Amino acid sequence: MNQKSSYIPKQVVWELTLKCNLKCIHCGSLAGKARDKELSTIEAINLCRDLAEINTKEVCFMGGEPFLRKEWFKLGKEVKDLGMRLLIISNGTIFNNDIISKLFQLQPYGLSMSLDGATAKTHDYIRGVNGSFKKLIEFISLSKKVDLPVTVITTVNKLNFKELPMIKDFLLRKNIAWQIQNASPEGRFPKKLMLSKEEFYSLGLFIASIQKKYSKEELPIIGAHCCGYHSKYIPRLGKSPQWDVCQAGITTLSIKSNGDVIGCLSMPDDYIEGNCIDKRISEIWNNPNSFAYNRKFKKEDLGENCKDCKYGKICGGGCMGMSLSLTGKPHNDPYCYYKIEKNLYRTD
Amino acid sequence: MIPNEIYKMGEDLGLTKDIIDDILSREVNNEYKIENTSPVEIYKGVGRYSTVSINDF
Repeated sequence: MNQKSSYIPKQVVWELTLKCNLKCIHCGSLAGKARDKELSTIEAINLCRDLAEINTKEVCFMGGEPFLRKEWFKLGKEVKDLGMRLLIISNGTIFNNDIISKLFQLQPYGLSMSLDGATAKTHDYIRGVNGSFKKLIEFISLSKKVDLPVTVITTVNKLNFKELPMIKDFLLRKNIAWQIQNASPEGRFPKKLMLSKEEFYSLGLFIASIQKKYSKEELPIIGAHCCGYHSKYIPRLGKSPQWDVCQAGITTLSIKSNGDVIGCLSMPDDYIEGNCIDKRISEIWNNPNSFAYNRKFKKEDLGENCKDCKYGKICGGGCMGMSLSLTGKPHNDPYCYYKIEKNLYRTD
Repeated sequence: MIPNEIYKMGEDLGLTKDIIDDILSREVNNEYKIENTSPVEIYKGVGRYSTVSINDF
């Protein structure tokens, strides 16, 4: 039996491999070595077909480092041939003429690379390998030369916070999108390097100021879902018409390289819904009991930080990854503009 | 009353007092209505473990 679900995955994030050549201090996935049992080529091809069957709109390859999975091109072609959009998130250090040429052939909808500092010193320290900044800048440049749609992702922590204006200057008028997000203590990331709540709030002001000052042609910038919620003064930093509830299991779905299925890769293994080798992905996605923490969310599920908030029912207590990594509880994200403002300005 | 630490951190990010005061002088409208549209159409955001394309802007 395979019931249809009313949910449709907008973006499926697929960890092609956990293998990675970098040692990023903020890596939430503890990437480095490949998992013991990663999907075979046939299993991966079947997964592409199953994702199309549940009407997936976009498939985003990430890792580890996705270009270290030798079949990335074959899988990317399969995704596109099945009518889904392809996006790729890379650390930007694995490239050569063949990869650039294959990317050009594939014409991905988006190619994102991580830029975590305005200087080689900061970026390389965060990424754990000297020379990664230089390679990244070269990859960005080569990608732009063949008109690939480049996004830069900056995961902000105490080490790169003050370099954001320099990164902005680097990206300005280059037709590169900028995705900014907050690092949280998942995987390898030490809590002591996390932004304070005041720094996090200032980050929101920074993104808002750029959105106000520059057109989207000059600098298309977005704050990720974790940059929220319901501020009295900071406009919505994403592209949605509201401060959304966490989308894990609602419009987003994630798959680990061993086939484990989870709403979001930021969440701990307790939230794995099944494995796509044991069960078809459609069976997991369409099961009415899957992803219950979000699909069946109710106000009573809000944690201590959020239970008395007038917006709690709408934002669902914020980012599940932030909430779980910082408090051990779901629907309880303490990094919230609304709550921070209540403390800073004594507002209601 | 805007605490000095916000101005100081804003300064670290290249934000002048005028810029901060300008943003904080206007309340944003947090009221909205959900249109009768599928969540896939409504949601145009991005999580920390996913990404946005420049084609989305």
